[in-house]
Amino acid sequence: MKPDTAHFRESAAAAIADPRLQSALAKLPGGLVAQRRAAVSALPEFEALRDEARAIRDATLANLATHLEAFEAKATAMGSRVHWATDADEARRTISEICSRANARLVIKGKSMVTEEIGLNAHLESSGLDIIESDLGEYIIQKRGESPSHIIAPAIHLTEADVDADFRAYHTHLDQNRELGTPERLVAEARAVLREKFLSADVGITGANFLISETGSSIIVTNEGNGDLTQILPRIHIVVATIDKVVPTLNEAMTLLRVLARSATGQDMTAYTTLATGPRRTDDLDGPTECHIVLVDNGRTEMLASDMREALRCIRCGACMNHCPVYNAIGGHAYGWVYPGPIGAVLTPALLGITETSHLPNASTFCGSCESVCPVKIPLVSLMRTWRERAHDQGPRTLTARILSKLWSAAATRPALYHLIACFAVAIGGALGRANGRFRALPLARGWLKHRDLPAPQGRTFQQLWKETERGVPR
Amino acid sequence: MSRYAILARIRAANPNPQSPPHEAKPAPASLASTGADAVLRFRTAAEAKGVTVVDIDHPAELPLAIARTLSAANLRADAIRLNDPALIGLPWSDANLTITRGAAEPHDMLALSSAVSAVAETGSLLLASGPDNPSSLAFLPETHLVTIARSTIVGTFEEAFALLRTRYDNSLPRAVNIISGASRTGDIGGRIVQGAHGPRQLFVFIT
Repeated sequence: MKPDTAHFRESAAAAIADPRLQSALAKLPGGLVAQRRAAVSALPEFEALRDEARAIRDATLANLATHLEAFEAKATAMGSRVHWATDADEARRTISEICSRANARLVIKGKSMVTEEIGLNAHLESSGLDIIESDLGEYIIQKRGESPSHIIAPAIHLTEADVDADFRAYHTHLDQNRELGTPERLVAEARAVLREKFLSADVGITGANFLISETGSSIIVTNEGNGDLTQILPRIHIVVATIDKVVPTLNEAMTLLRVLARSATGQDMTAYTTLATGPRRTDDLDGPTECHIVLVDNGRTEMLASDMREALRCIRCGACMNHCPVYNAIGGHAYGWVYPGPIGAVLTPALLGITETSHLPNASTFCGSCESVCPVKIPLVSLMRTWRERAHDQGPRTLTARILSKLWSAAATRPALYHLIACFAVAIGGALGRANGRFRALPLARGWLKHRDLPAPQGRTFQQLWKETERGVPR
Repeated sequence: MSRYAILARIRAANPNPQSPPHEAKPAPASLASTGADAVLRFRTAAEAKGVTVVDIDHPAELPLAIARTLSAANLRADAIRLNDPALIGLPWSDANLTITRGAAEPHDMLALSSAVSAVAETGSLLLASGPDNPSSLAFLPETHLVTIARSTIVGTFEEAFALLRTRYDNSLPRAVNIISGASRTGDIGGRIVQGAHGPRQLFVFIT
């Protein structure tokens, strides 16, 4: 999809003012967040598993080339064809060549973030193919011409009523007076419509949660079973995965799966976890006759060589966005590209460059909730801070911002001067604010005070308090 | 070529790849169980996922047990799709079910697969694809039935993978399906609905 990260501030403001979006987002804390909490408290070793998951990811990244070569060798031995793509363009061309060699007309897809990242659907459509997303959430947003607003719950920004209206508009071959209205009926309708597509598709495209070197398998996890129908029924299966998805052994993948499902939806295991290894065997009664695996770099090797390396540990559970107060307030679309929330604020600048994405690392209060739930302990706050510093060093700044920043650094590097200014502010502020204990309006701070009050100073400066106490602790 | 370019860039980013290989740790102790405990734990975990679990004493009782279970669940079927030679010889006429063989077809109501193993920690089934158990049986029919031998129910996934390795020696069948409940989705309004694309209901028969 085409990024629109430069208008983050406008998009975020619009999202906050959108009552329909706000009512959809209101379900997040009681849903995914509460479910994760219950799953985590049911497993006493969860914290130890997070450390283990982090260690597995770090060790794999430290030896990534070897593990990828081992994966390629085993996958090839099992009958898959492995392709390598340095960037989005090469990945798209590789996939569209496989489709055109097979004279494909209809492509069905399982949910895959990397195919969103490389803009696969638009590319395949422009070469004359029909593309149908089969994950229910993805199907809904594909019909709306939208992008996912969450990496595991792509239609989380929509309500039941939205989907009802959409299905009536899209499924015009069905009786216009039919009863819909409940999630059960809507799901049944989508199931019937998509079943036809599964049966007539020539190519099935899925992502991969993991690639296993030991067995040459790709692993996908789904709850709907759509990913499985996608890789069983069409005659060609294409797996698209970035190079960081490789895991040496099944046992290590299991540790990652144990933290993945619990962090994502609070399940101990999703309904379907499938290891797919090559095309159908001579005595098999079903399965694709060709299996292709497209390994995509698209910026990962640059991240590996940079100080953003730790973000490559990500296993795409979505917990960071579920727990992010900013994501909860504005939803995923405001971030302007495929990866929203804290991981998006780190990943998007790494993949698209900081110039166009400089607002994203600011979309955080640095409360640290994201880090505290990340199953592979990515230091999201410090990575966002690194991007803020880089945006500050490289980005264009207004004259006001430059003057204020100069003034601030002049005061902050001179403790005596700082103290003098603080004493002045405390004295004046304390006197003026004594009546209410807080300010509702102040000159030059209209924006800040629009949504909150400023507490009035309480008579002494921080430096005075610090001196009077034992390093901040009362004597 | 892109392959060499990517691998060279990775090696340049990892100048010291001699870091020791990671030693995989055993499964968390709280997830482990054996023997009768494992069977009980499997049942409890599977039932918590909405799976119906039925114990039978002898494989020959399977057709009748299936008939009884279906009727208790208000499900009707005339035919059952299955391919495992160990199941074909059972007295299916007792249950008024005709056998259909081959891969699953779009309008199948009922299919029966045999699992290689089941895992107590999450109440999951491991199905290995092959001529006896085509993987479409687990996804196309409205209702999916699975048989599992009591002796193959293990505590953790690590043990189930060890079973797979003994059986297939690291050359896995085309699909290993780990199934933990029936198909479901929460994509509309955040409420869980069973029967998204795959089976609406899952029944397990422990033999």
